Amino acid sequence: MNWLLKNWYKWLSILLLLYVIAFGMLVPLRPGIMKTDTFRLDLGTEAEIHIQFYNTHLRKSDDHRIWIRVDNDHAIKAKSFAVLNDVELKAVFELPSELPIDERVAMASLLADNSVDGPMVLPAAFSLVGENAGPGEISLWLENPVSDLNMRWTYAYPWRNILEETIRNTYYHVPMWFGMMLLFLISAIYSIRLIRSDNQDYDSRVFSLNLVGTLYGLLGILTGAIWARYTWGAYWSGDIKQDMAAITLLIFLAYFLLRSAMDPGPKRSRVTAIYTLFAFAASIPLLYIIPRMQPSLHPGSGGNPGFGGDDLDNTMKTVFYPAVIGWTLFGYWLSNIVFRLNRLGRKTEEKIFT
Amino acid sequence: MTLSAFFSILQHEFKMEFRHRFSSAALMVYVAAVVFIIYLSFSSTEAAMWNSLFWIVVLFSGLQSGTLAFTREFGDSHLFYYQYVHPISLFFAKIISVWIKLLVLAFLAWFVMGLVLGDPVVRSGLFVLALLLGTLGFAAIFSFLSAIAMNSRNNGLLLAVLGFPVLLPVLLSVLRISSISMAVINLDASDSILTLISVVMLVLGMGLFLFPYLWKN
Repeated sequence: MNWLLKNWYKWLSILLLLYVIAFGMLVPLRPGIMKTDTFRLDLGTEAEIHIQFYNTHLRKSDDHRIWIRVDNDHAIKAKSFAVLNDVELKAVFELPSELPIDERVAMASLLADNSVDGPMVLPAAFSLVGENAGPGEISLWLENPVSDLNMRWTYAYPWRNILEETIRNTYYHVPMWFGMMLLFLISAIYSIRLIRSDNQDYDSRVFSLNLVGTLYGLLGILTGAIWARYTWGAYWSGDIKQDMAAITLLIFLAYFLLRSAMDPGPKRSRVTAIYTLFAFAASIPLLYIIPRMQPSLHPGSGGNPGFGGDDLDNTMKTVFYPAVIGWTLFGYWLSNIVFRLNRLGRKTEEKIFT
Repeated sequence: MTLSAFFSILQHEFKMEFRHRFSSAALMVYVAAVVFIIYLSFSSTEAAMWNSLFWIVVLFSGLQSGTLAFTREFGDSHLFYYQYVHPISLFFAKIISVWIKLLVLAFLAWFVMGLVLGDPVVRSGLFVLALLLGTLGFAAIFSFLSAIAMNSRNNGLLLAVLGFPVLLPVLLSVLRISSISMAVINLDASDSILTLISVVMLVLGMGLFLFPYLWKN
């Protein structure tokens, strides 16, 4: 029992990470609309649209309702539809000849609802093009308003276009950066303690924390690059956040170069601890100031949604927060193993040479 | 830290510089030669490219002169300094002397590049401000890292490896300010200037805080 209590954070990190991997991978995405086959719709015509869904069970329900929506009040309901299979559907719309707003062209979203899958939306799905500027025929737009949606809560992750299944990367990429920053912070604290006391154990601490922190940083960049391949279109797109993160890692990689260029001893531990503090301070503008000066594709900057909102809803938070705690504890555990190995090596050497 | 100690070290630095005239002259010829190579290979440059090439020249000449900041001291002169002066006055004197050398090199590079490639600078005052702050940042980083690299074997290579990633925040904001001064991008410069000042202050502050510990070695 004592043994269990002594290693509480190891058990906790294993449990949390098992939970994160299982739930992060197994919980499905909420149903959503993938895409349609047309983008431009001419007003005053009959349009047949082929719609592709994701994670839906279209054949299980027969109360489908589909709208093209211009704004909160104005929408056109599908005249008829044919379910092709569980994720595909053909809908026919009779489009009025004029828009409800005083424009010639308007963006419209596609809305679908049924009792099994709940409401789904594809924002900016169509461009409605008319010959005359509206508003006319407003009554047609008001006939079948969007109402009585089958809103309800399900244990599923939010469906976001473009993000799709990659939204699960939140449980790996983001905690890696949190963990890295925390490990580097602890390493900076040990560096200060080292230059004040010259205790060689702190040198092993700084080394192990920097090693695991850099490993986390590399994994963070890797998971980010793989994610970017599917959302931004390329592994590396020269985004300012990617570049600055890579430079931060270069600064910390230089720590290991400096360490290997010097002979072991109190002098080396002092100099490398001072460099660690310097590197930690230098990484702050790289990660938090410079990226804000330039446009970036990264969530959380340049008007893109970051934490909160639809990208991290309450369902995701039940996995995201355990993931942050679990990965951080796991990183601390890893660094502890490296620390003990490093200290053992040093002590053995001291024994041999004295 | 006393002012007189600071000035006597500074004086000593310039005496050393005068005694080793060869190395400063070599650096100046180095800058001129690099600019001339750029001129021969590009023959004409856009303002944006002029800007990046200029700062690359300043960066590499800064690396050359920064290497000398602490590594030129030989024998027991470290011990002498350690006994007689406060490390902060020593560090300040080193930074100021490297800064002045870098400024001379940067103005030389500006002059020669303006001569052979044309001078795209529209707002000279802003460009001079970028030069002053940027070279101060370079000088602080190179002096500090040179003191770190001094402790190891093959310190020239190590200084480059340690220095370039740390330099990048300074370099990026300086590039931004100087491209504003050349009207390459149309922006208010005050944000970038504030960022640059805060980055330089951060580096200087960390250097001042850590150098005494480093110097104890």
